[in-house]
Amino acid sequence: MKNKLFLSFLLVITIIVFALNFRVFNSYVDQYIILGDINNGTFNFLEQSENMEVDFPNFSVTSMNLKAVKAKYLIEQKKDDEALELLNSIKYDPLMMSESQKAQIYLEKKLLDSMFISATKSWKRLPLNQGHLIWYLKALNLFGQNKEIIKIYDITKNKKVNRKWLYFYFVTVFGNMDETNRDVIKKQARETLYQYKSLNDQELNTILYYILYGEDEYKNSIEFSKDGSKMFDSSEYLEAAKLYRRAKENFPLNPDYYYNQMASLFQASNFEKTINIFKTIPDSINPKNGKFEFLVAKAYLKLDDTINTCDYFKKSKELKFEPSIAYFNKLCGN
Amino acid sequence: MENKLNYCLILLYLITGFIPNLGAVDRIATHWLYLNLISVLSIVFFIYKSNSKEGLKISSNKPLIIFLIFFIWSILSLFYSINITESLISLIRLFSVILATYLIGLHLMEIKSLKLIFILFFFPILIIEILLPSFKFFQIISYVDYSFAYANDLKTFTPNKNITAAIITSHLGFIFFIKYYLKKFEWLLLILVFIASCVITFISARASIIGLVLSLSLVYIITFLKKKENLFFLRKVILVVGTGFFLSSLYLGSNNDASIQNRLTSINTDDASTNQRIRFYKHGIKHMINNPIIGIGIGNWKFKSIEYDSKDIQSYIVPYHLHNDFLQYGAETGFIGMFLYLLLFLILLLINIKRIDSNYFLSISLIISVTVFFVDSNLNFPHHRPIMMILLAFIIALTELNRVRNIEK
Repeated sequence: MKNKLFLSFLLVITIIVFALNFRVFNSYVDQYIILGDINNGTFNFLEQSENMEVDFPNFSVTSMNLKAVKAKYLIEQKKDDEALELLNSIKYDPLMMSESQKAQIYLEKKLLDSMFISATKSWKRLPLNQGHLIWYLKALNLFGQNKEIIKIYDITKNKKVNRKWLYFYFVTVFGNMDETNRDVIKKQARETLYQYKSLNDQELNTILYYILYGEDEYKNSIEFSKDGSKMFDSSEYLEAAKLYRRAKENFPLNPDYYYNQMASLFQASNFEKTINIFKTIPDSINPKNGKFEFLVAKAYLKLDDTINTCDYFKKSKELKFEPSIAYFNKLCGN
Repeated sequence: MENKLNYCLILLYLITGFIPNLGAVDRIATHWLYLNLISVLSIVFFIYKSNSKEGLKISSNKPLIIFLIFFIWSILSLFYSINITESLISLIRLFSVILATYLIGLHLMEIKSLKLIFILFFFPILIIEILLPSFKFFQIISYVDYSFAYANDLKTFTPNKNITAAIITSHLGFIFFIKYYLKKFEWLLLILVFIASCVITFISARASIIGLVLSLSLVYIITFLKKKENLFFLRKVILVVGTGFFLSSLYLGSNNDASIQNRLTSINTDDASTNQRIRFYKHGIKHMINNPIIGIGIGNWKFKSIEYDSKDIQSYIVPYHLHNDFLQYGAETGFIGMFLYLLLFLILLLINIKRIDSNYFLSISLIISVTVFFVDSNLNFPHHRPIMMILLAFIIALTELNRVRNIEK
């Protein structure tokens, strides 16, 4: 009897626990879509967001305050006042996601001082979060604090930073480049280009090239290259070589411009110059895929320099450039 | 009095980890809910169907008492918790485990022999757990050369390769008790141990490899000191595990990043995952030293960790767990909480060591499981996963049965 009473008591408690766990489960089902929205920048949960659970649990599995998450949907629906009221009711938000959203609303309402305070708070909590960074950069920009903007880069020292973060940072500093900060920004861009070159991120690289060589110069180099290709296609090789040289002068980091200039000179039977251009390629930008060495070997072949021909076919072969294998075996096999 | 429903409900508890997520962002929510459902059914069963008058004497079940004291101490953390809601969620989960432990204990007490439980339930489950990643492995190598990059594909029945490896390793200890009942099939058990060792190597889960080596060393020493006559089978198991590790490493080659040599030598300060763990541990220890009596409240480390790690957090990727359950409970509930949770493992180990003379195979099985669980708790976060905590519930319930009954007569 005593046992049954104890078990009945346990049953009541367990049913309550079950009900609470069921509430958590339902929230986790919603969070499946919500977290997808946050990660992908979509709003698939928008229609159901009105009834979103924000009290039990009050945080997502990823430690986001669910009121701050709900506010995101309200902002999307242009319900700024409702969103702000919800954000102001948050007592604890360790990620400061709510401050980042407040900054967005304050900017909309032209309350710039409040925007600055919220953006600063959110960025100081998570300096490597690109979302928080964007609002902080906007705030600093609005108040013309260019020196502060450039200091932001210092937090990346000895840290691996998200490529989007770097992109947003450099886009902002590029817009603020002047005589007083040009050298510092260029130094930062060079460092980033060196540290993150393995990412091969087109978006990030482009903005870094703009900073290092100038937007016009970079764009011109693309134009010269396009024109050079047209000339090459119409067999005007010397003219093509000239255009590729100009592309290279405008943007010397692209190894393709060197290769195309070499190929044009080769087609124009200017073999010595083809070899000389190869010698000017900085080692840091040589892709070391054997393609350049193959062309040099062919140039030496035309010049009847057997020793250098075999030497370069061998180098190309070692860099796993397949066409060189047959040449090497045929010409240098013995 | 034995009832078929006892078996059914035990089986339902055992398959907790195989329940799909049913649309939840993390399957733990589904598993906790499922666990509560089975507990409700179990209680209803004990109220209406069971004729047992024996019951489970909680007062003499030391591990359960320690677990209960830890639970009560955690309830007190509600008074200082940063986020009470999150603490409540953690408490109801802790309650669910303790309740399951109690109810599994009741079921086991009503069952006369563990033979059916181990042969019909544990054994097939272990086979499935070992074979699922093995099939996946063969599927992978039919397309590409295997490397560490594919290790996570071997997770199969859990959401993470480390959990899969921990589950296999801690269940592997039960091979000893299964051998007690299936003496004629010793060869089959050794084949399973061999495949499991290979799977663990391919998964490259360092905590499981360390746990298995440590636990086998421990049971070897204990057997050597207390039950020399049982060394023969144990030596065979150790030899098979060693061969499994050796041959799978040989297959991978010394240059393969999944090989044991490379995985274990990567436990140094240059390894990103190790660096991250060391950083988390430092945060946890620092917090405990500054707050020795009261922590931040049960379940609240995932918030406090943001403050400690904020300068390194990219996007919204937060260190939710400290990757050491003892330190995490210490940071959340103070030194007393950490000590109580540590004591639970120590008591489990001591009780089973004491019972080696009476129930050798069951004791050895439980010592291996507790040791593997302990090592995993030091490097991962099994407290968060019902699939692991239900194993702890079984370990506690079986340890109590081991203490009160002479099973291997």
